[in-house]
Amino acid sequence: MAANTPPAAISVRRLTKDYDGVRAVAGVGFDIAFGEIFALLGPNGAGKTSVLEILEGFRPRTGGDVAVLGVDPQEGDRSWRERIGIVLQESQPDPGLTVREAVSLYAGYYDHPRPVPETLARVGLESRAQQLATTLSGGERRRLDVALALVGDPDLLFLDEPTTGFDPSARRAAWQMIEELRGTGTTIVLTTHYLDEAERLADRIAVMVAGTIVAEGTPATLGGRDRADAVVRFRIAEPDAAAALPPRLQARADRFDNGGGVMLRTPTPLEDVEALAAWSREHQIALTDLDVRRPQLEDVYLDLIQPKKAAPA
Amino acid sequence: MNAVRLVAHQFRYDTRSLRRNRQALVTTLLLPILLLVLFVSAGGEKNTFVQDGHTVKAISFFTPGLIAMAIVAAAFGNLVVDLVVQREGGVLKRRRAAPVPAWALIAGRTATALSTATVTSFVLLAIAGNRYDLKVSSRELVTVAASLVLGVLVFSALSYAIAPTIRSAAAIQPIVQLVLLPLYLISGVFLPSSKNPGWLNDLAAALPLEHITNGLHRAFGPEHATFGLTATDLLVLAAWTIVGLAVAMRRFAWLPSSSTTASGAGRTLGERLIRAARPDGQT
Repeated sequence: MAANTPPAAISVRRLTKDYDGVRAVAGVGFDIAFGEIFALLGPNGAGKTSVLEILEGFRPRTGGDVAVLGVDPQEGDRSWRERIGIVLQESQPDPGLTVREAVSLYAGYYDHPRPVPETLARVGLESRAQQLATTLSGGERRRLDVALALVGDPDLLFLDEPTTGFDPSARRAAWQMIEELRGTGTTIVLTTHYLDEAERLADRIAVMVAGTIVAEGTPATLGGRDRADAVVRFRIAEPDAAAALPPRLQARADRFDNGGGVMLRTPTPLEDVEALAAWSREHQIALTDLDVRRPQLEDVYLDLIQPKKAAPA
Repeated sequence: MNAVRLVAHQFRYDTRSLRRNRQALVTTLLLPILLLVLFVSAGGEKNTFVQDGHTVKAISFFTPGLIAMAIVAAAFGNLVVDLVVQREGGVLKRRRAAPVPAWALIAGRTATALSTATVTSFVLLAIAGNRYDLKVSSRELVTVAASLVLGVLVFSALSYAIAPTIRSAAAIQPIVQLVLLPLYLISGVFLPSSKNPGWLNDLAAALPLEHITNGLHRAFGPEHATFGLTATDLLVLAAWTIVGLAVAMRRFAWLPSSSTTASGAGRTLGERLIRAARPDGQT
């Protein structure tokens, strides 16, 4: 494997997919490096699932080039599938089998499976091994799905909405499990609706809207998040004093209520807060509710998936 | 992993799953046994039937008929339910995501149907022999064994062919019952076919089940045929097996129909995955 390891785990160029002449995926391209966790975000109907199913070899593409572990998924054979694990978005447990039996069944499909007890331990289902899979809770079922995908010891793992419908504690447990997988060097492709999930887990995020990727970057830089203005909010005890703010701040300030609330949009939050503090001391004007906020991933995302108005420069 | 081990692996787990499925046990095991006892008791054990011009006792008529039913129940009724439920639940898709060839999944599941039908047949024979004094010798067993193998093959092939036409789990029972009950009635399972009008006999003769029941009737009837199936029976069964396989290769889908878009992408995929279509099947 080492000799002909391709440069990228996944490489996609000008990918298109039509359904009955309707273009669902309209020229998508990206690379995913080995060991990376890559998240594909986007509203329902954006084409995420089509892209994922093409990468997984479940769906033929209309056009473009795709290489997954150096192989065209449409030509993927058994040795290719040996290296890939897939957690489907919706799947029922295998009926009539216990957790251990289900994992053993899938282990038997691989030439070099991970040991079943080790796989169960990795997803935290050891104590459920003897239980019928159909009697597991939602979160446990999802962990079993992950176990079935991991038992082949894959180099590449697809996780399609791994925590949809989870309660917060189950979600945190799932995140921890995925972070542990990162430690083993597994490349992971993730789709999710949860921004906090993408931010916490992903090395890189691509946002898909209407069949194209509208932004790609790290959670910190996506959509120019790192360059976007920060927001400083505070409240002035004497609302009329707001008019006396130094000019530097005055220019950026917006009143946001009649109780003395002021909001500044600024590329230099630290300097502005310093100036604000100096002004407050000097004029003996009390400030409350001071809050400095970088744009959240969610703000950037919601902005990205907005239908574009007149194209900005 | 070699082919035999892979099929045996699938068979082991499919059989285990089936043993824990009460609904499947009712339709594949309990119902044929219950019907044997009821049918023989209902008209009285002395009741006779005319089958193929021979007068036979109730037990000699119903035992072969219900062995045929056991074959259909295991290889068609139960199999179609499994295929549709597991397809719609994403189980088949998940299995295809693993490096297991389609033929291994199909062969393992077919072997499970064969073992189920075999167990039910031997329970039927044991009850008929011990409770109703049906004489069973190795001669009849040859025909039973051949009927089990050929019957399971033809009806498994037809299951994979018909499963794609059933788009939801809720639609399975009406469709399966609509096919099976009339088929049992015209094919000599519950009633002798001798008195049927010609058109009904022609219809039954064109379908596979009667060729299995007739073969079994010939083995258990007065003529005690060593091998009940005629050349015509074998030809018709072979033809239906080939038709079933051909349709299944073209139509069988591993993905849930919910993920199938209007263009039938999932179907195309089913074709692709079963490796029947051209390998370069880019649309």
